[in-house]
Amino acid sequence: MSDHPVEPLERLLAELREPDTADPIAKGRVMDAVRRAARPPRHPEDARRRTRMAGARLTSVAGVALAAGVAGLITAGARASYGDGDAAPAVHVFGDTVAATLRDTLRLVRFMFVAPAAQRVALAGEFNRWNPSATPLHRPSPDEPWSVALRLPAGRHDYAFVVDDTQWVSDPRGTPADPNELAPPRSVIVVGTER
Amino acid sequence: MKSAPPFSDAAVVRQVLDGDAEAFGVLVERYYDHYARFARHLVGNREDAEEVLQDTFLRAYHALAKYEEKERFGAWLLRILVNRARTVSARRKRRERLFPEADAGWAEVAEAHPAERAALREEVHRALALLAVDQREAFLLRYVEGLTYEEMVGVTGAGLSALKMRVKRACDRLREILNEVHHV
Repeated sequence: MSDHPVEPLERLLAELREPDTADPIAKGRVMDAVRRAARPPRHPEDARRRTRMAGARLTSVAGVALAAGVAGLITAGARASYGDGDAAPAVHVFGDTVAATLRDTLRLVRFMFVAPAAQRVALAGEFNRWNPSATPLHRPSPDEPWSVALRLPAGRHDYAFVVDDTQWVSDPRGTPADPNELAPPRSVIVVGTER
Repeated sequence: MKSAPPFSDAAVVRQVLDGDAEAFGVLVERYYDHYARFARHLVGNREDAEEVLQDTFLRAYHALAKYEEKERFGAWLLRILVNRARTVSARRKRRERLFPEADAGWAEVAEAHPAERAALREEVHRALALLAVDQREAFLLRYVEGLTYEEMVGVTGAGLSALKMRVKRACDRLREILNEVHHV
């Protein structure tokens, strides 16, 4: 039996195949639910290393929290705990940026920006071809910072925040990039140099 | 221009299982938008689709230790989504009438004018709504998500012959419905 559709199904299929823009707020709620439920899932292999942030008091920041390695991501302003009996990672604090070296393989970076009055905040940089549409930030509530987590290769990355689609701002707590009168204000982060 | 090198879903899963709940956000970013469309077509409205999606990702998070890397993560996630959509659809059917009467006459849709795009979308969803749930599901998986029948077996748990029959019946029924609209 043939199930190849012909007209008028082609018209119907064209409509169904149109890309759909999901509501970013609804999408943000997914991670809110995951965070509420977060607890170290049971891993089938017991020998995995676990990490724990011990005694790392983090201030509320408008900046970048940097995580190095497969095993962990630290969000500035929160205390993370992954389990008992594990060695604490090396933690370096400079300004409001916290970098924790956990395992030297992958880099997961959380960008955070405080803008309670903004309707939209996006991140633009070389990693998304300076396209703010590609990387919106989310916030669980108007009282909390906007944030997004990105994977970045080791090296230098220029970036900026775009507020309400029009205002390009550098990271107020980050490292300013070299000024360039032809470019909007931006900041720089160097991934992968923490130890 | 340089771009961030991708790393596999399996690597992200391992990271989450190592205790990094935030890393799950990478999987959400990768799959939410794409499956949002499928969920909306399956359950018929955005609100229920968002509930299905949230439930799906949360269940996936809790069940990550059961995920086997030999299976594509997207397919594993889709399997959860299909089950959640069935539950939500069944609950909604019991609760209220979601879609218009089957014998309601539909006006011809003027597609040439862009302003009628919303009407076309509504026509399409009404047509889908008139399918049996398993036919709608099979049709969408096959012709919108582009799964092979073998992949559909893994996602739905149904047999190959049953799936082919559902797709055929869905196509036949949709042609019937759409011909009724255009030949009034």
